[in-house]
Amino acid sequence: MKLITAVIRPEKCQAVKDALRDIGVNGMTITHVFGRGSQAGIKFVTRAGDIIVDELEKTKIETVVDDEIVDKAIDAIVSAAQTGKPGDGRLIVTPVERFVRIRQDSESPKE
Amino acid sequence: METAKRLGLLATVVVAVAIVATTLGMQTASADSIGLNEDSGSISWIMVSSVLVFAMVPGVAFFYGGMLRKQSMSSVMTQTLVASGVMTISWFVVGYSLAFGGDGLIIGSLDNLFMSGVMEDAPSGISELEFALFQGMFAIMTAAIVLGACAERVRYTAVVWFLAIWSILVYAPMAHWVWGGGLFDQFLTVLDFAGGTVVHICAGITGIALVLFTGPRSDRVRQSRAHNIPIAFLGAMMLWVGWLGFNGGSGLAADGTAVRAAVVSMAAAGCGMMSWAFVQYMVVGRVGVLGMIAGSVAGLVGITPAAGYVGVPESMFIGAVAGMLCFYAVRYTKGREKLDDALDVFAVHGVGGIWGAIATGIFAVPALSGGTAGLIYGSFDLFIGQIVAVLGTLVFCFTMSYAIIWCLSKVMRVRVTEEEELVGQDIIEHGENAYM
Repeated sequence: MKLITAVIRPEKCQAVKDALRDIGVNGMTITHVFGRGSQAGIKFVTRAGDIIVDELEKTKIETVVDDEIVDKAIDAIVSAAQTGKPGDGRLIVTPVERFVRIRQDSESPKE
Repeated sequence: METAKRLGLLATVVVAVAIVATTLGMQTASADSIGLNEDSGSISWIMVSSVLVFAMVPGVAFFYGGMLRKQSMSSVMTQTLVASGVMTISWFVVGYSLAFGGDGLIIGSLDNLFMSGVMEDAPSGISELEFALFQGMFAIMTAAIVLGACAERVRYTAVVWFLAIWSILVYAPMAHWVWGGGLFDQFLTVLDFAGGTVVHICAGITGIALVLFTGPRSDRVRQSRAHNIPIAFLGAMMLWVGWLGFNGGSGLAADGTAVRAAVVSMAAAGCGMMSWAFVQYMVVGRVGVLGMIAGSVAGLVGITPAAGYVGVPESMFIGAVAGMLCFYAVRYTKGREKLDDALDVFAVHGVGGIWGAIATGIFAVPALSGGTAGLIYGSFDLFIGQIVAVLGTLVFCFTMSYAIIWCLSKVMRVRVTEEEELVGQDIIEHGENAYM
């Protein structure tokens, strides 16, 4: 199993949720986060000089998926969240060592 | 460029000093008290009402700010402060004189610049200076409402300049036409007790002009939900409390009319809120703070022009219809792509104000309104007058406001860019997060 952590534009959150639902991924954790990317924030010009805003608003989606649909899930998230402009975000895939469903106290991936 | 700016600044200062110097010369030393005024009751009540109306201004900031993203809270408060500052200056310097300084058809006069010749004492009733203070609060209130429509996109500097020009070219003529003996007063039979046309329709349609000119916000900002319901609730309740002075003081005396205005305002607000809640419950399936506070404001807007002229049953009907109408108006405008009225200023204040003005034309009781009868008493004059006044207000305020913002856009950047909008005006323009 893999943990997919996607940091995306907040306005793309609904599109990503819909795309994941279409491939059968429903469980996820959504967090509102702040951060910056490789541009180190955005520079704005004001009357008295430049200001740099380096804490930009993003949405983080974390979901654990089976190995066989990881690629489909990545494609779904990328195509739903992409605009092509700086600030589209990141997607990280990490291996999952153990995964426990608390209700059933079982490590089986199936319900 | 820099030199030109400095020269411009210098010129402004010189002109300002010249105006102050001339006017100080014109000031007449106020005469000693003209006897003892017996009507201290009215003086007190209108002073209290003025304060109540001013308390609505921070109420508006809380009401609107709570319903926006948390990145816009400081911006809303700052813009409300601009409304208080710019409108106060403009009103005392020239606005009052233009609105109430004479009987001209289009505009008053420049006789009362800097409140010169406006006395704080009066032999009976309230003095003219007290009237000017009370009216000044209405000017601030109107400007504060306007800024809710175009929230989260108009730049701070543009707001300052817009309000400064708008207060003279739009608000002062409107107040003059309806209350100051101008156009509407002279040619039409109109009744506007506490500012249905001057405050609410004017604010609503000015908001629409700004919204159409500056365009909608980006999707993310638009879809974000109210960030602080308790703050929105607090603001709405401050509006409701203040409104009792807004309507109650508009009879300009502490008499039976003031009592009637306060009573019918309460009745209409309650009915507006509950009718909105009822319709929302039937259509959407659930009701909450945001719907109910919008309903109460809709009811209060509806009763504003009629407050002194109707009885309790009529006021309840006016309030209930206002709640329903505004609910559907909000649903309609929310579905328009281009019409991004951020806080439903037109749907609530505009539509509610139009209904209130027409309802006044239908229900005005001749015994209460000094003989002007509404439609149900068999007289068409008032009904038609009200409709013409509403149409006139809509056309005039929209055209002028659109023209002002269009001209401003030629000399400055009036709108924040999409990137700036997403980060939020709190940081970009003010450098102050509302919350840590």
